[in-house]
Amino acid sequence: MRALGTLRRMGLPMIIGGLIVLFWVVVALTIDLWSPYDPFSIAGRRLRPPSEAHWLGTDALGRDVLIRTLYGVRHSLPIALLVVVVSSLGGALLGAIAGYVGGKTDAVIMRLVDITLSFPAILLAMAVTAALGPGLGNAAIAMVVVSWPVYARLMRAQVLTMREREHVEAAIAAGAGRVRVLTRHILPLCWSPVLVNATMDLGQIVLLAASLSFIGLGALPPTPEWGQMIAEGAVNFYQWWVALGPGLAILSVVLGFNFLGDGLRDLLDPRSP
Amino acid sequence: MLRYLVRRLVTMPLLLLGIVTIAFALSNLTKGDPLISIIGERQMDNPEIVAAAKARWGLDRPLPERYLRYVGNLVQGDLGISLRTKQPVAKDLMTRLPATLELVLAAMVVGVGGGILLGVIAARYRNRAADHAARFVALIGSALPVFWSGLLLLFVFSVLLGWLPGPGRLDARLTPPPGVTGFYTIDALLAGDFTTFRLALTHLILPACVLGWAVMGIISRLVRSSMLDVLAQDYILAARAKGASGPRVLVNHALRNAMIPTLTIIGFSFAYLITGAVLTETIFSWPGIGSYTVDAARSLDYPAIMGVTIVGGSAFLLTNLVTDIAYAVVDPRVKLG
Amino acid sequence: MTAPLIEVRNLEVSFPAATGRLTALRGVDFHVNAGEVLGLVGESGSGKSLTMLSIMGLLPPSVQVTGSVRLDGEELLGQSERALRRYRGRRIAMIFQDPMTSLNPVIPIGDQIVEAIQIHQPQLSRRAARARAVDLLAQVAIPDPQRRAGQYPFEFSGGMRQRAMIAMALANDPELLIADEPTTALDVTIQAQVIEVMERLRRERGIGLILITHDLGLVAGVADRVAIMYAGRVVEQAATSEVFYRPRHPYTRRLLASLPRFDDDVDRLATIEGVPPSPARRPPGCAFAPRCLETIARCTADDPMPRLVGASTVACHRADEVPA
Repeated sequence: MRALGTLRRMGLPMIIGGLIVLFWVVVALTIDLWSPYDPFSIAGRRLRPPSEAHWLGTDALGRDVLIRTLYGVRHSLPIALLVVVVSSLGGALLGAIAGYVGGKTDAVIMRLVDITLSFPAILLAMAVTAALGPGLGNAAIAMVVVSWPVYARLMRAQVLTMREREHVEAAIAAGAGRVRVLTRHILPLCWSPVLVNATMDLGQIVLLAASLSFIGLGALPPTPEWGQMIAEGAVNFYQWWVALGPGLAILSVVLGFNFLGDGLRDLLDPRSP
Repeated sequence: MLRYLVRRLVTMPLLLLGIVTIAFALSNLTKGDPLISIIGERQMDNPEIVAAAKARWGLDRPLPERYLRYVGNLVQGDLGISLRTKQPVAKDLMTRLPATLELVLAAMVVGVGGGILLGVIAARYRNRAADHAARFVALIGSALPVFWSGLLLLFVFSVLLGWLPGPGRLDARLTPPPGVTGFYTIDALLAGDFTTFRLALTHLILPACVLGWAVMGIISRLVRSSMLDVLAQDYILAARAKGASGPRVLVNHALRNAMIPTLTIIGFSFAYLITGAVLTETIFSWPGIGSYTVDAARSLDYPAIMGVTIVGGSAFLLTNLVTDIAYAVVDPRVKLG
Repeated sequence: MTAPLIEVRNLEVSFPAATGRLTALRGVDFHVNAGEVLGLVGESGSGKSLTMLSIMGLLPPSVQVTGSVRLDGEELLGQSERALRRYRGRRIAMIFQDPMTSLNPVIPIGDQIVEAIQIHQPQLSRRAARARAVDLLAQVAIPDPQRRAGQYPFEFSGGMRQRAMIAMALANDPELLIADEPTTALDVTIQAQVIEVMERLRRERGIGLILITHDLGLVAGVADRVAIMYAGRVVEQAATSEVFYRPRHPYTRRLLASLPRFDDDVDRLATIEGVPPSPARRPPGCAFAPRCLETIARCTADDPMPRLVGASTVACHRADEVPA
């Protein structure tokens, strides 16, 4: 019964977002079981428009576009998850330390945050990836570098607020050590904005990864990564179907996580109507 | 307020230095040999070029000295030589800057104008059909990958419908107008050449709209929520009690107050636009800094990549500062209080 | 007898809520004669502000308003928004409770007054309007009005802000002024100043005034007639002296009894236990019955309608029994 109440409070957008994400997770996990074509092999004539056999047509090498699009989630989602988990945990940790310890540590960490945030994300990601060498792995590292500062700032702000709360003073008065106070009394109250941001970030990272791949710095052919596929679509401009699948996929994933994150924020924030 | 601004101006050089340091660190990472980041892998066999590079950038010297050399060169405007164009990166950037500026400014007009319009509509017709429609349009804009929507819209409007011309700033056979500002549209007007002006404008519309749509999302969202906050205020009721009509209340009273927080977002959306410009220019064959960056990335043109990163970061920093100043100017409570 | 300046008959206001339609005002009747001051008194939630907003037509469209509101014989309810706008700020002007939030914080005060003028007198040049605005500021005793007109609300003191609002309300020579708790947000020492200015100008121009307040002392000093509101209805209406010396409704009597007095030496102030019922939870019968100390059986069954008793209009079953 409680589940139904939560369901109603979630609102339509969040439910839609959840369904979209669920769809992609299911596809990612099960596609090997039911896919009629292999994403790497030729399945039909080259550059054929959508037909019964190939719902989204075929690309320049004769591979089925729809199947490649669906397989793409296996490259986008896990990377995004990895990047977000690492950057959120790392960033939050640094932010918590900065907020709690204060002083020089705080200043140093925050300067690092400011400097990193001085760059538009894609420029920095490009620069880092180029320096490390093209490839999805290096792109992931670059994306972590670009993403962690936001979490540091969020967490620091939360910690600074929670630090002044009375129950923290009480714990300190009772003799709790600094680490204990931080982990047991402050941090448990701070995680909701981080979670909300991380959820929405998942979509943004998928977008960033696709952008990097589009430029040629992320996933390399023949990987069926969405950005990469759109780059192929740009080459075959008049065969509009080649870029259609991956673009819609990215759009749906970003929307899905945005809705989910928005809904999460409303759910977790006791003050919102 | 003055104190705050002074403080910001003082931290700026520090942050700039930070940007430069990161670029320096990155250039040292390239496969472990900073030489590669300056002359590229292929030239490594050429002893003359290697020697020249080592001299200019002090590559035989210890790290701290190399750093100082690097910063020194930068201050003099030396961003290195592009591996691809063989020209100084700084010169390349200057040549391409007007094209990007024209695009970004046009996109800001579309994005900010459209964003404000959508936000006001959404707030005015809160929870009704118009609100949902406006928010939907804005939402799609912020979730669309710009390089994809550009492709799609280009296909639809240029190939399918034929309403708008294809990629590029002008038709290939035309010569650009005499360069005063570098903006083809303005230069054409200044030269009295209306045909070129029209052509330049029609070439500008699509990329500006594609780019602007991306920004419409955040702007309209903020305008909507600010407007809703403001519309609930007492002075709105008082204005209506004076006999003010709906539009007057919306614009003179509500929007005026709602714009104040929106200003910061406008400045912030500049970053979005830079990000988007990088990808949009590629699709539309727009010869600006964005496509230069992509070309550099694709060919691993390290000097160019680092150069763009430094310039981009600095520009971003500058716009943030300008936004803060503008905010202080517009809100009289901050200015005089 | 001349027709009253404004006459409100059987004003009912209801709005949709989760539990159905709620009636916030249940048949409000009162009138104000030209040049007269009516004090509208009641606790928060009694419906005072709602009454004023419905007179001006400033309630959202989902709120249903029925009854009759006549200004100089012209029916206001049911008129189009466009028509109502011609009354607002010109024939009926409103002064709000908190001048800090009722003035636009980012527009200079002079400009806001000019706006009030230009809405209704568009033929005036900007210069003429500005001159008039400065003149109005002078009339409400704001020193150095020329310079002050260019200042923002936060640069004014609380009392000055309220006086500026009065100036704005008078800009187009209204016939009726509605002041919603004009002194509540002000210091006691400033209150007298503001009231003095308002009263002086009002009397000079012969403007009618509806003074909404919960401050009985203010009413005693300024109002010619008083209307007491409780739970969405006017429960007693009479000349001021009548209400204060011969209160006929139990609520009025308890209100007066709760006023601190100089000559009384009491340890505790008298209060009325309980709270007014919300529109969703009104009891059958008289709305005041749960808190009234003089109820009879009829009170919880029958909702008393206002009727003439002596020189007052009272809504109480026992009004004529109680010694006058």
